[in-house]
Amino acid sequence: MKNSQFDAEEKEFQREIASALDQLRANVGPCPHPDQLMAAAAGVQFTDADAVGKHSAACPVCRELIRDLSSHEYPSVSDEEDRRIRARLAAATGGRGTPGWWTSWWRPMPVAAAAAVAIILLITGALVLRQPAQRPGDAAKTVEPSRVPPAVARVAFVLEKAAIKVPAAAALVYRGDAESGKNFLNELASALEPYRMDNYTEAARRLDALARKYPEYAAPYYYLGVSRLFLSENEPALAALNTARRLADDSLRDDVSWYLAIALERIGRSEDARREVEGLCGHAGEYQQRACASVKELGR
Amino acid sequence: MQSYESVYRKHRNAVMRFAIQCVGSRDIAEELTAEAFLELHRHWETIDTERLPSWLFTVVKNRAADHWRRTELERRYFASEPSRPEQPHAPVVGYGLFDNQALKPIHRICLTLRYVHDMSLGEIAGRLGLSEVQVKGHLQYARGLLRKQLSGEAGK
Repeated sequence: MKNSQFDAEEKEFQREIASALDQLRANVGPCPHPDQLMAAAAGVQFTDADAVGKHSAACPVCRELIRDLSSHEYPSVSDEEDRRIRARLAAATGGRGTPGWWTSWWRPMPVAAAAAVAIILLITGALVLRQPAQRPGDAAKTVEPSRVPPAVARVAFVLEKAAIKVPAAAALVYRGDAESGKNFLNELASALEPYRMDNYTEAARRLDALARKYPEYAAPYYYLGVSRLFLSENEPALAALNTARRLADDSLRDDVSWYLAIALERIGRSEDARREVEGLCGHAGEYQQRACASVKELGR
Repeated sequence: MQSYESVYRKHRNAVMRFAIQCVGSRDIAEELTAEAFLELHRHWETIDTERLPSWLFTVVKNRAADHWRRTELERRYFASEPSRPEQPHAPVVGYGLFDNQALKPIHRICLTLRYVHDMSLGEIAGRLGLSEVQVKGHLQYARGLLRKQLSGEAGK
Protein backbone atom coordinates (compact mmCIF):
# COMPACT_ATOMS: atom_id res chain seq x y z
CA MET A 1 0.00 0.00 0.00
CA LYS A 2 1.39 3.40 -0.87
CA ASN A 3 1.48 6.35 1.44
CA SER A 4 -1.28 8.44 -0.09
CA GLN A 5 -1.61 10.69 2.96
CA PHE A 6 -5.32 10.55 3.59
CA ASP A 7 -6.50 13.36 5.82
CA ALA A 8 -8.80 12.85 8.80
CA GLU A 9 -11.96 13.51 6.79
CA GLU A 10 -10.93 11.03 4.13
CA LYS A 11 -10.12 8.40 6.71
CA GLU A 12 -13.56 8.90 8.13
CA PHE A 13 -15.05 8.48 4.66
CA GLN A 14 -13.04 5.30 4.18
CA ARG A 15 -14.48 3.96 7.41
CA GLU A 16 -17.98 4.89 6.24
CA ILE A 17 -17.65 3.02 2.97
CA ALA A 18 -15.71 0.13 4.42
CA SER A 19 -18.74 -2.07 5.00
CA ALA A 20 -20.12 -1.22 1.55
CA LEU A 21 -16.72 -2.01 0.11
CA ASP A 22 -16.65 -5.35 1.87
CA GLN A 23 -20.17 -6.19 0.74
CA LEU A 24 -19.51 -5.21 -2.85
CA ARG A 25 -16.04 -6.69 -3.15
CA ALA A 26 -15.98 -9.29 -5.86
CA ASN A 27 -13.36 -11.94 -6.15
CA VAL A 28 -11.92 -11.20 -9.57
CA GLY A 29 -8.31 -10.70 -8.50
CA PRO A 30 -6.31 -7.53 -7.91
CA CYS A 31 -6.96 -4.54 -10.16
CA PRO A 32 -4.08 -3.64 -12.49
CA HIS A 33 -2.72 -0.11 -12.47
CA PRO A 34 -4.98 2.35 -14.35
CA ASP A 35 -2.22 3.06 -16.87
CA GLN A 36 -2.10 -0.61 -17.76
CA LEU A 37 -5.88 -0.80 -17.97
CA MET A 38 -5.96 2.08 -20.40
CA ALA A 39 -3.03 0.82 -22.46
CA ALA A 40 -4.64 -2.61 -22.86
CA ALA A 41 -7.95 -0.98 -23.76
CA ALA A 42 -6.17 1.13 -26.41
CA GLY A 43 -4.74 -2.04 -27.95
CA VAL A 44 -1.13 -1.56 -26.87
CA GLN A 45 0.72 -4.87 -26.83
CA PHE A 46 2.75 -5.46 -23.68
CA THR A 47 3.66 -8.41 -21.50
CA ASP A 48 0.58 -8.36 -19.29
CA ALA A 49 -1.85 -6.94 -21.85
CA ASP A 50 -3.87 -10.15 -22.16
CA ALA A 51 -4.14 -10.65 -18.40
CA VAL A 52 -5.09 -7.01 -17.92
CA GLY A 53 -7.73 -7.28 -20.66
CA LYS A 54 -9.21 -10.39 -19.07
CA HIS A 55 -9.35 -8.70 -15.70
CA SER A 56 -11.06 -5.58 -16.97
CA ALA A 57 -13.61 -7.72 -18.82
CA ALA A 58 -14.56 -9.28 -15.49
CA CYS A 59 -14.20 -6.28 -13.17
CA PRO A 60 -17.02 -3.71 -13.23
CA VAL A 61 -14.97 -1.06 -11.45
CA CYS A 62 -12.16 -1.29 -14.00
CA ARG A 63 -14.61 -1.30 -16.91
CA GLU A 64 -16.22 1.84 -15.57
CA LEU A 65 -12.84 3.48 -14.99
CA ILE A 66 -11.79 2.71 -18.57
CA ARG A 67 -15.05 4.12 -19.90
CA ASP A 68 -14.78 7.28 -17.79
CA LEU A 69 -11.10 7.86 -18.55
CA SER A 70 -11.72 7.29 -22.27
CA SER A 71 -14.27 10.09 -22.29
CA HIS A 72 -12.17 12.40 -20.10
CA GLU A 73 -11.31 15.68 -21.79
CA TYR A 74 -7.58 15.95 -21.28
CA PRO A 75 -6.18 19.48 -21.62
CA SER A 76 -4.89 20.39 -25.07
CA VAL A 77 -1.18 20.54 -25.81
CA SER A 78 0.09 23.54 -23.87
CA ASP A 79 2.36 26.19 -25.35
CA GLU A 80 5.23 24.81 -23.30
CA GLU A 81 4.58 21.25 -24.48
CA ASP A 82 4.25 22.47 -28.04
CA ARG A 83 7.59 24.26 -27.74
CA ARG A 84 9.28 21.13 -26.43
CA ILE A 85 7.77 18.91 -29.14
CA ARG A 86 8.93 21.31 -31.82
CA ALA A 87 12.38 21.48 -30.23
CA ARG A 88 12.59 17.68 -30.31
CA LEU A 89 11.54 17.63 -33.95
CA ALA A 90 14.09 20.26 -34.81
CA ALA A 91 16.81 18.46 -32.88
CA ALA A 92 16.00 15.09 -34.41
CA THR A 93 16.00 16.49 -37.92
CA GLY A 94 19.37 18.13 -37.36
CA GLY A 95 17.89 21.61 -37.05
CA ARG A 96 16.50 21.51 -40.55
CA GLY A 97 13.05 22.29 -39.23
CA THR A 98 9.91 20.72 -40.52
CA PRO A 99 8.89 20.19 -44.13
CA GLY A 100 7.37 23.52 -45.02
CA TRP A 101 4.80 24.71 -47.46
CA TRP A 102 7.19 24.13 -50.35
CA THR A 103 7.28 20.37 -49.82
CA SER A 104 3.61 19.87 -50.31
CA TRP A 105 3.46 22.58 -52.92
CA TRP A 106 5.54 20.87 -55.57
CA ARG A 107 4.54 17.28 -54.91
CA PRO A 108 1.18 17.05 -56.64
CA MET A 109 2.06 19.53 -59.34
CA PRO A 110 1.03 18.43 -62.82
CA VAL A 111 3.68 18.49 -65.53
CA ALA A 112 2.15 21.46 -67.35
CA ALA A 113 1.95 23.51 -64.19
CA ALA A 114 5.51 22.54 -63.34
CA ALA A 115 6.66 23.70 -66.75
CA ALA A 116 4.85 27.01 -66.29
CA VAL A 117 6.44 27.51 -62.93
CA ALA A 118 9.86 26.66 -64.34
CA ILE A 119 9.40 29.31 -67.02
CA ILE A 120 8.34 31.88 -64.44
CA LEU A 121 11.39 31.01 -62.31
CA LEU A 122 13.67 31.35 -65.34
CA ILE A 123 12.23 34.76 -66.20
CA THR A 124 12.42 35.86 -62.59
CA GLY A 125 15.98 34.60 -62.40
CA ALA A 126 16.94 36.52 -65.48
CA LEU A 127 15.42 39.71 -64.05
CA VAL A 128 17.20 39.18 -60.76
CA LEU A 129 20.53 38.79 -62.53
CA ARG A 130 20.00 42.16 -64.12
CA GLN A 131 19.54 43.83 -60.73
CA PRO A 132 22.46 45.64 -59.08
CA ALA A 133 24.51 43.54 -56.70
CA GLN A 134 23.10 43.30 -53.19
CA ARG A 135 24.62 45.32 -50.42
CA PRO A 136 26.21 43.03 -47.78
CA GLY A 137 23.56 43.92 -45.23
CA ASP A 138 20.75 42.76 -47.49
CA ALA A 139 21.88 39.17 -47.61
CA ALA A 140 20.41 38.26 -44.26
CA LYS A 141 17.01 39.54 -45.33
CA THR A 142 16.67 36.96 -48.10
CA VAL A 143 17.14 33.20 -48.39
CA GLU A 144 14.76 30.67 -46.83
CA PRO A 145 12.42 32.96 -44.98
CA SER A 146 10.09 30.33 -43.62
CA ARG A 147 11.75 26.92 -43.60
CA VAL A 148 12.33 26.90 -39.85
CA PRO A 149 9.42 28.21 -37.78
CA PRO A 150 10.57 30.56 -35.01
CA ALA A 151 9.25 28.19 -32.37
CA VAL A 152 11.76 25.49 -33.30
CA ALA A 153 14.77 27.74 -33.69
CA ARG A 154 16.21 27.04 -30.23
CA VAL A 155 17.48 23.47 -30.07
CA ALA A 156 20.77 23.73 -28.23
CA PHE A 157 20.94 22.56 -24.62
CA VAL A 158 17.21 22.01 -24.19
CA LEU A 159 16.81 20.35 -20.78
CA GLU A 160 14.69 17.24 -20.96
CA LYS A 161 14.17 14.68 -18.28
CA ALA A 162 16.73 11.88 -18.48
CA ALA A 163 15.21 8.44 -18.87
CA ILE A 164 15.89 6.11 -15.99
CA LYS A 165 18.37 3.53 -17.14
CA VAL A 166 19.33 0.25 -15.57
CA PRO A 167 22.79 0.74 -14.08
CA ALA A 168 25.54 -1.73 -14.94
CA ALA A 169 25.40 -2.99 -11.34
CA ALA A 170 21.95 -4.35 -12.11
CA ALA A 171 23.46 -6.92 -14.43
CA LEU A 172 25.54 -8.27 -11.56
CA VAL A 173 22.48 -8.38 -9.35
CA TYR A 174 20.45 -10.07 -12.02
CA ARG A 175 23.06 -12.80 -12.19
CA GLY A 176 22.98 -13.00 -8.41
CA ASP A 177 26.65 -12.02 -8.08
CA ALA A 178 26.47 -9.09 -5.70
CA GLU A 179 24.35 -8.71 -2.60
CA SER A 180 25.56 -5.19 -1.89
CA GLY A 181 24.66 -4.24 -5.46
CA LYS A 182 21.15 -5.50 -4.83
CA ASN A 183 20.82 -3.27 -1.79
CA PHE A 184 22.12 -0.37 -3.80
CA LEU A 185 19.58 -0.95 -6.57
CA ASN A 186 16.71 -1.16 -4.13
CA GLU A 187 17.76 2.12 -2.57
CA LEU A 188 18.33 3.70 -5.97
CA ALA A 189 14.83 2.68 -7.06
CA SER A 190 13.43 4.30 -3.93
CA ALA A 191 15.49 7.46 -4.43
CA LEU A 192 14.29 7.71 -8.04
CA GLU A 193 10.60 7.58 -7.11
CA PRO A 194 10.31 11.37 -6.60
CA TYR A 195 12.36 11.84 -9.77
CA ARG A 196 9.75 9.85 -11.67
CA MET A 197 7.08 12.14 -10.21
CA ASP A 198 9.01 15.29 -11.20
CA ASN A 199 9.60 16.12 -7.55
CA TYR A 200 13.19 17.19 -8.08
CA THR A 201 13.69 18.75 -4.65
CA GLU A 202 12.95 15.47 -2.89
CA ALA A 203 14.82 13.53 -5.59
CA ALA A 204 17.93 15.66 -5.04
CA ARG A 205 17.71 15.18 -1.29
CA ARG A 206 17.47 11.40 -1.56
CA LEU A 207 20.03 11.07 -4.32
CA ASP A 208 22.51 13.23 -2.44
CA ALA A 209 22.23 10.92 0.56
CA LEU A 210 22.54 7.87 -1.69
CA ALA A 211 25.62 9.28 -3.42
CA ARG A 212 27.30 9.76 -0.05
CA LYS A 213 26.42 6.21 0.97
CA TYR A 214 27.54 4.62 -2.31
CA PRO A 215 30.31 6.90 -3.60
CA GLU A 216 31.53 4.21 -6.00
CA TYR A 217 28.41 4.28 -8.22
CA ALA A 218 27.82 6.85 -10.97
CA ALA A 219 24.04 6.64 -11.18
CA PRO A 220 23.18 8.61 -7.98
CA TYR A 221 25.51 11.43 -9.02
CA TYR A 222 24.10 11.43 -12.53
CA TYR A 223 20.43 11.66 -11.53
CA LEU A 224 21.39 14.10 -8.77
CA GLY A 225 23.00 16.32 -11.40
CA VAL A 226 19.96 16.15 -13.67
CA SER A 227 17.61 16.89 -10.75
CA ARG A 228 19.70 19.89 -9.77
CA LEU A 229 19.55 21.18 -13.33
CA PHE A 230 15.77 21.07 -13.12
CA LEU A 231 16.05 23.07 -9.90
CA SER A 232 18.36 25.55 -11.67
CA GLU A 233 21.10 24.73 -9.15
CA ASN A 234 23.68 24.74 -11.88
CA GLU A 235 26.99 24.77 -9.97
CA PRO A 236 26.02 21.84 -7.71
CA ALA A 237 24.66 20.09 -10.82
CA LEU A 238 28.02 20.51 -12.50
CA ALA A 239 29.86 19.12 -9.48
CA ALA A 240 27.60 16.04 -9.34
CA LEU A 241 27.89 15.43 -13.06
CA ASN A 242 31.67 15.75 -12.98
CA THR A 243 31.76 13.04 -10.32
CA ALA A 244 29.36 10.96 -12.39
CA ARG A 245 31.68 11.30 -15.36
CA ARG A 246 34.61 10.06 -13.31
CA LEU A 247 32.65 6.99 -12.22
CA ALA A 248 30.53 6.26 -15.28
CA ASP A 249 31.06 3.31 -17.55
CA ASP A 250 30.29 3.36 -21.27
CA SER A 251 26.57 2.80 -20.74
CA LEU A 252 26.16 6.18 -19.03
CA ARG A 253 29.00 8.20 -20.53
CA ASP A 254 27.03 9.98 -23.27
CA ASP A 255 24.17 10.78 -20.91
CA VAL A 256 26.52 12.39 -18.43
CA SER A 257 28.25 14.29 -21.20
CA TRP A 258 24.99 15.75 -22.53
CA TYR A 259 23.84 17.04 -19.15
CA LEU A 260 27.34 18.29 -18.38
CA ALA A 261 27.13 20.36 -21.55
CA ILE A 262 23.86 21.87 -20.35
CA ALA A 263 25.34 22.67 -16.94
CA LEU A 264 28.45 24.21 -18.49
CA GLU A 265 26.43 26.32 -20.87
CA ARG A 266 24.24 27.55 -18.04
CA ILE A 267 27.15 28.77 -15.96
CA GLY A 268 28.66 30.55 -18.93
CA ARG A 269 31.41 28.08 -19.86
CA SER A 270 30.21 27.97 -23.44
CA GLU A 271 33.47 26.77 -24.94
CA ASP A 272 33.58 23.78 -22.60
CA ALA A 273 29.92 23.11 -23.39
CA ARG A 274 30.72 23.23 -27.09
CA ARG A 275 33.52 20.71 -26.65
CA GLU A 276 31.10 18.34 -24.92
CA VAL A 277 28.47 18.51 -27.67
CA GLU A 278 31.12 18.28 -30.38
CA GLY A 279 32.29 15.05 -28.76
CA LEU A 280 28.74 13.70 -28.74
CA CYS A 281 28.13 14.84 -32.29
CA GLY A 282 31.24 13.02 -33.43
CA HIS A 283 30.00 9.50 -32.79
CA ALA A 284 26.77 7.57 -33.21
CA GLY A 285 24.58 7.51 -30.14
CA GLU A 286 21.39 8.60 -28.47
CA TYR A 287 22.52 12.22 -28.22
CA GLN A 288 24.21 12.58 -31.59
CA GLN A 289 21.38 14.35 -33.40
CA ARG A 290 20.68 16.73 -30.54
CA ALA A 291 24.38 17.42 -30.09
CA CYS A 292 24.97 18.08 -33.80
CA ALA A 293 21.95 20.39 -33.88
CA SER A 294 23.40 22.21 -30.87
CA VAL A 295 26.79 22.53 -32.53
CA LYS A 296 25.11 23.88 -35.63
CA GLU A 297 23.06 26.36 -33.66
CA LEU A 298 26.08 27.54 -31.68
CA GLY A 299 27.87 28.10 -34.95
CA ARG A 300 25.26 30.56 -36.19
CA MET B 1 -2.46 19.66 -50.24
CA GLN B 2 -1.87 20.22 -46.53
CA SER B 3 1.48 21.42 -45.21
CA TYR B 4 3.32 19.57 -42.47
CA GLU B 5 2.73 22.51 -40.14
CA SER B 6 -1.03 22.48 -40.69
CA VAL B 7 -1.15 18.70 -40.23
CA TYR B 8 0.81 19.05 -36.99
CA ARG B 9 -1.52 21.75 -35.70
CA LYS B 10 -4.59 19.82 -36.75
CA HIS B 11 -3.69 16.51 -35.12
CA ARG B 12 -1.34 17.28 -32.22
CA ASN B 13 -4.07 17.37 -29.57
CA ALA B 14 -5.70 14.13 -30.72
CA VAL B 15 -2.32 12.39 -30.85
CA MET B 16 -1.38 13.68 -27.41
CA ARG B 17 -4.67 12.51 -25.92
CA PHE B 18 -4.33 9.08 -27.48
CA ALA B 19 -0.76 8.87 -26.20
CA ILE B 20 -1.97 9.66 -22.67
CA GLN B 21 -4.47 6.80 -22.99
CA CYS B 22 -1.62 4.50 -24.01
CA VAL B 23 0.94 5.36 -21.33
CA GLY B 24 -0.81 7.38 -18.62
CA SER B 25 1.98 9.85 -17.97
CA ARG B 26 1.62 13.17 -19.75
CA ASP B 27 5.40 13.58 -19.92
CA ILE B 28 5.85 10.29 -21.72
CA ALA B 29 2.82 11.01 -23.89
CA GLU B 30 4.55 14.20 -24.98
CA GLU B 31 7.61 12.19 -26.02
CA LEU B 32 5.44 9.77 -27.95
CA THR B 33 3.65 12.63 -29.67
CA ALA B 34 6.99 14.08 -30.74
CA GLU B 35 8.13 10.69 -31.99
CA ALA B 36 4.94 10.18 -33.98
CA PHE B 37 5.35 13.52 -35.72
CA LEU B 38 9.02 12.78 -36.29
CA GLU B 39 7.99 9.58 -38.06
CA LEU B 40 5.55 11.62 -40.09
CA HIS B 41 8.39 13.98 -40.95
CA ARG B 42 10.49 11.03 -42.13
CA HIS B 43 7.69 9.67 -44.30
CA TRP B 44 6.29 12.99 -45.40
CA GLU B 45 7.16 12.44 -49.04
CA THR B 46 5.20 9.23 -49.25
CA ILE B 47 2.47 9.48 -46.64
CA ASP B 48 -1.13 9.83 -47.75
CA THR B 49 -2.54 12.50 -45.48
CA GLU B 50 -5.95 10.86 -45.81
CA ARG B 51 -4.57 8.15 -43.53
CA LEU B 52 -4.08 10.66 -40.73
CA PRO B 53 -4.49 10.68 -37.80
CA SER B 54 -4.87 6.89 -37.62
CA TRP B 55 -1.34 6.48 -39.03
CA LEU B 56 -0.03 8.64 -36.19
CA PHE B 57 -2.06 6.65 -33.66
CA THR B 58 -0.43 3.45 -34.90
CA VAL B 59 3.02 4.96 -34.40
CA VAL B 60 2.03 6.03 -30.88
CA LYS B 61 0.69 2.56 -30.12
CA ASN B 62 3.93 0.91 -31.26
CA ARG B 63 6.05 3.34 -29.28
CA ALA B 64 3.81 2.81 -26.26
CA ALA B 65 4.43 -0.94 -26.53
CA ASP B 66 8.19 -0.19 -26.50
CA HIS B 67 7.68 1.99 -23.45
CA TRP B 68 5.84 -0.76 -21.58
CA ARG B 69 8.52 -3.27 -22.52
CA ARG B 70 11.21 -0.95 -21.15
CA THR B 71 9.20 -0.31 -18.01
CA GLU B 72 8.76 -4.01 -17.47
CA LEU B 73 12.46 -4.69 -18.01
CA GLU B 74 13.43 -1.86 -15.69
CA ARG B 75 10.99 -3.02 -13.04
CA ARG B 76 12.24 -6.58 -13.33
CA TYR B 77 15.84 -5.49 -12.89
CA PHE B 78 15.03 -3.38 -9.88
CA ALA B 79 12.71 -5.86 -8.24
CA SER B 80 14.57 -9.01 -9.32
CA GLU B 81 11.35 -10.95 -9.36
CA PRO B 82 9.08 -12.47 -12.02
CA SER B 83 6.82 -10.33 -14.18
CA ARG B 84 3.75 -8.92 -12.48
CA PRO B 85 1.64 -5.88 -13.32
CA GLU B 86 2.94 -2.90 -11.36
CA GLN B 87 0.99 -1.72 -8.31
CA PRO B 88 -1.88 -4.12 -8.75
CA HIS B 89 -2.92 -4.58 -5.16
CA ALA B 90 -6.04 -2.49 -5.14
CA PRO B 91 -9.16 -3.98 -3.66
CA VAL B 92 -11.76 -5.09 -6.12
CA VAL B 93 -15.25 -3.78 -5.53
CA GLY B 94 -18.44 -4.70 -7.24
CA TYR B 95 -21.25 -2.70 -8.76
CA GLY B 96 -22.83 0.11 -6.83
CA LEU B 97 -20.01 1.52 -4.71
CA PHE B 98 -19.74 4.73 -6.71
CA ASP B 99 -23.09 4.25 -8.38
CA ASN B 100 -24.87 7.55 -7.96
CA GLN B 101 -26.71 9.34 -10.76
CA ALA B 102 -25.47 12.71 -9.56
CA LEU B 103 -21.84 11.67 -9.90
CA LYS B 104 -20.16 12.70 -13.13
CA PRO B 105 -17.42 10.60 -14.75
CA ILE B 106 -14.76 12.92 -13.34
CA HIS B 107 -16.04 12.27 -9.81
CA ARG B 108 -16.01 8.51 -10.31
CA ILE B 109 -12.52 8.68 -11.79
CA CYS B 110 -11.21 10.66 -8.82
CA LEU B 111 -12.93 8.36 -6.31
CA THR B 112 -11.64 5.21 -7.98
CA LEU B 113 -8.08 6.45 -8.39
CA ARG B 114 -8.01 7.73 -4.82
CA TYR B 115 -9.80 5.05 -2.84
CA VAL B 116 -9.44 1.94 -5.02
CA HIS B 117 -5.98 2.57 -6.48
CA ASP B 118 -4.62 4.55 -3.53
CA MET B 119 -3.18 7.33 -5.67
CA SER B 120 -2.10 10.64 -4.16
CA LEU B 121 -3.82 13.91 -5.08
CA GLY B 122 -0.73 14.90 -7.05
CA GLU B 123 -0.71 11.66 -9.01
CA ILE B 124 -4.39 12.00 -9.87
CA ALA B 125 -3.95 15.64 -10.83
CA GLY B 126 -1.00 14.79 -13.08
CA ARG B 127 -2.87 11.87 -14.61
CA LEU B 128 -5.93 13.94 -15.48
CA GLY B 129 -4.31 17.27 -16.30
CA LEU B 130 -6.03 18.97 -13.37
CA SER B 131 -4.74 20.89 -10.36
CA GLU B 132 -4.61 19.22 -6.96
CA VAL B 133 -7.17 21.75 -5.76
CA GLN B 134 -9.57 20.64 -8.49
CA VAL B 135 -9.07 16.98 -7.61
CA LYS B 136 -9.65 17.76 -3.94
CA GLY B 137 -12.84 19.62 -4.89
CA HIS B 138 -14.16 16.73 -6.99
CA LEU B 139 -13.43 14.30 -4.17
CA GLN B 140 -15.12 16.45 -1.55
CA TYR B 141 -18.22 16.84 -3.71
CA ALA B 142 -18.33 13.14 -4.54
CA ARG B 143 -17.83 12.07 -0.93
CA GLY B 144 -20.64 14.38 0.13
CA LEU B 145 -23.03 12.81 -2.37
CA LEU B 146 -22.08 9.28 -1.43
CA ARG B 147 -22.39 10.06 2.28
CA LYS B 148 -25.93 11.26 1.73
CA GLN B 149 -26.65 8.11 -0.25
CA LEU B 150 -25.17 5.84 2.40
CA SER B 151 -26.97 7.61 5.25
CA GLY B 152 -30.23 7.49 3.27
CA GLU B 153 -29.85 3.77 2.69
CA ALA B 154 -28.99 3.23 6.32
CA GLY B 155 -32.17 5.11 7.38
CA LYS B 156 -34.44 2.94 5.25
